[in-house]
Amino acid sequence: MTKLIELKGISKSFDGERVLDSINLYIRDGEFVTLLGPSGCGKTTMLRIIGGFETADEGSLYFDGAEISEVPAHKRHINTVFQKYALFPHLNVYENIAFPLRLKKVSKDNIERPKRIPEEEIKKRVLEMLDMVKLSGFENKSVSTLSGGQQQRVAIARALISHPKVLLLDEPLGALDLKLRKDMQNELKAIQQSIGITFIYVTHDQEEALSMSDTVVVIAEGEIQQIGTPTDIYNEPTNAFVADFIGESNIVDGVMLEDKKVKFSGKVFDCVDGGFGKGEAVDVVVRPEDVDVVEPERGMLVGKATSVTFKGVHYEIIVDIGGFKWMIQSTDYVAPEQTIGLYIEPDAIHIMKKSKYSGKFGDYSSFSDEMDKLSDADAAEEF
Amino acid sequence: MKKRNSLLRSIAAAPHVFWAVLFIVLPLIIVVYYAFTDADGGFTLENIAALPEYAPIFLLSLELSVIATFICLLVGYPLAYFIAKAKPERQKLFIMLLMLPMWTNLLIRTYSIMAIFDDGGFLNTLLGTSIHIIGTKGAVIFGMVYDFLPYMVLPIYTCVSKIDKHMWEAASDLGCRPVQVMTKVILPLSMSGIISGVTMVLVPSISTFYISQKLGGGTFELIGDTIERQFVTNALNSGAAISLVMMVLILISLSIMNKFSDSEEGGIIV
Repeated sequence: MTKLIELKGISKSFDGERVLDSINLYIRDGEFVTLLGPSGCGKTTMLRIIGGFETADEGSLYFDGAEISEVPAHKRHINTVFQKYALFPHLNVYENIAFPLRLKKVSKDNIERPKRIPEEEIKKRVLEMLDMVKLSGFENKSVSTLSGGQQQRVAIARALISHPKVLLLDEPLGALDLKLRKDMQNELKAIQQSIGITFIYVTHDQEEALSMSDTVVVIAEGEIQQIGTPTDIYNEPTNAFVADFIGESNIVDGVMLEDKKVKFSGKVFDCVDGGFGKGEAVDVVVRPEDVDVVEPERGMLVGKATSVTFKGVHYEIIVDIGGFKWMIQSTDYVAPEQTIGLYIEPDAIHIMKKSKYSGKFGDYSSFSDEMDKLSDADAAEEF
Repeated sequence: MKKRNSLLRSIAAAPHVFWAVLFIVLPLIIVVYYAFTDADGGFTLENIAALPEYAPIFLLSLELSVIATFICLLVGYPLAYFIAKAKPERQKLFIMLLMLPMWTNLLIRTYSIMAIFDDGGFLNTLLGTSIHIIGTKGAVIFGMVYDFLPYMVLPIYTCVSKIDKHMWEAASDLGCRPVQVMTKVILPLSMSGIISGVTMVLVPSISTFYISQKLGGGTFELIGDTIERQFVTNALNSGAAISLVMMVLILISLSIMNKFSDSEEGGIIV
């Protein structure tokens, strides 16, 4: 797969505030890439620069090997599905989808003068698109009578009908309810696989990113934190920000004693990572589901359960170990205030280099506060 | 509960209903009454039958007001668009500047235009020329445009500023050149504002009388002047008949225009 889109040293500021800081990224042909990050991290700005709605202050943008930094949006082979769909209210479903085709002029050979696309061909393609997004029979409906999910489908059909090479999607499922979101996730993925073009998808929902993407780009504070497959991102986060943002993580301070030996919480553990300096301070990540609850005498770490919450599939247990609160997910019930032992397999321990995000995340002592903050961030998500 | 609500609603609506009946419905009934009666109060169709003699005056009024409305649209749309796309704090300033002349009485403004354009007026003195402006059709049209332009700009401004900003981006994303963004998306979406603006300029300019009297220099008689003259000379029945037919004609043309505007957003008037 070739590099279809490449960003080189892209920076952008709004009112003196740096939103993107020398971004370097390439996206391959046919890939499903997700730009993932909290609100205000710059992911939407990045998408808008690729779409041609913003120009970067510094750096250049390449499409299929040619620089397109100065090419206006209407000349790019890139189409966008907007967050609020942006359907044209003065046109019905059919005309909305046919809109891009009506603007096009094509010539069969280069000698003939370019002509409008004939009406039969437009009709055929619109009906094909409606079929693909499962809206056959909706041609003559006014777009304002459609539900959010249906408007979404019209927007996708409209964006795909002129066969772009790249489809940009700006939090397209943000306004849908949970059930519909899940259905649309699967459908979007299926559409992407069947037509085989590149999708660049912006979201703040890590679960959505993990389940749909070939590649996830984690962004925070205008910088790319990590690029990788969903499994890489989950299993091998590069720093405390990524570890915390993707799923739940206990992140504790540790010291590498030697390769595959790490000391944290006052104990020495076997692990599978190496390549750090002897005595180097590191961040240690342990996922809540990778910790086994055992008898206190068999535990590698021992602590008191301070809160136990039933979550359906498992219990979520907050354990106080030497003042640091761990989150454990276990299918076994533990009584609050009970002293338990924790057992951690070597491959459940992931070691990360210290970063500017060290110490900011991964402690569950103020768990409820953190949840509040997260839900606030969701509510105030950028438009 | 429901009954109480509807009672409350009736009480709340009462002053408006009273107002509408007293100042809109009742006068209309009086106009209809006078239009179909003679000086002695007997029923007659003579007033209506005599109307064709005013046709040339009506056509002249139509001509001047259509030209004025068209100029208002030509000047007003870009102005309204520019204001709607300006920064929010600038928008307030521009709207205030637009409204500022309206704080001065319409008659005084019209007299001021006279003072500027008169044969020995400000403009000719300044240029040292003796261009004859007052008394031409151009002067009347200028007066109409000057007096009624804000009525064109305001509804279009309101309409354009309500258009989702993503419409511009979506249009160009889907392949519209900048001109096509306007013709294919933004203009169709501004139609309801344009219709309101056209209505709000056309109706007062077609029936104006002081602009034609002052700036027309007595050369023209427009339909508004005719109606005024009828009432001043106490020819109430004839004046009422002309007014009634004017109203009916305006109503018909407005409902035709409203057919063209978006059925959801349009229909601000009628």
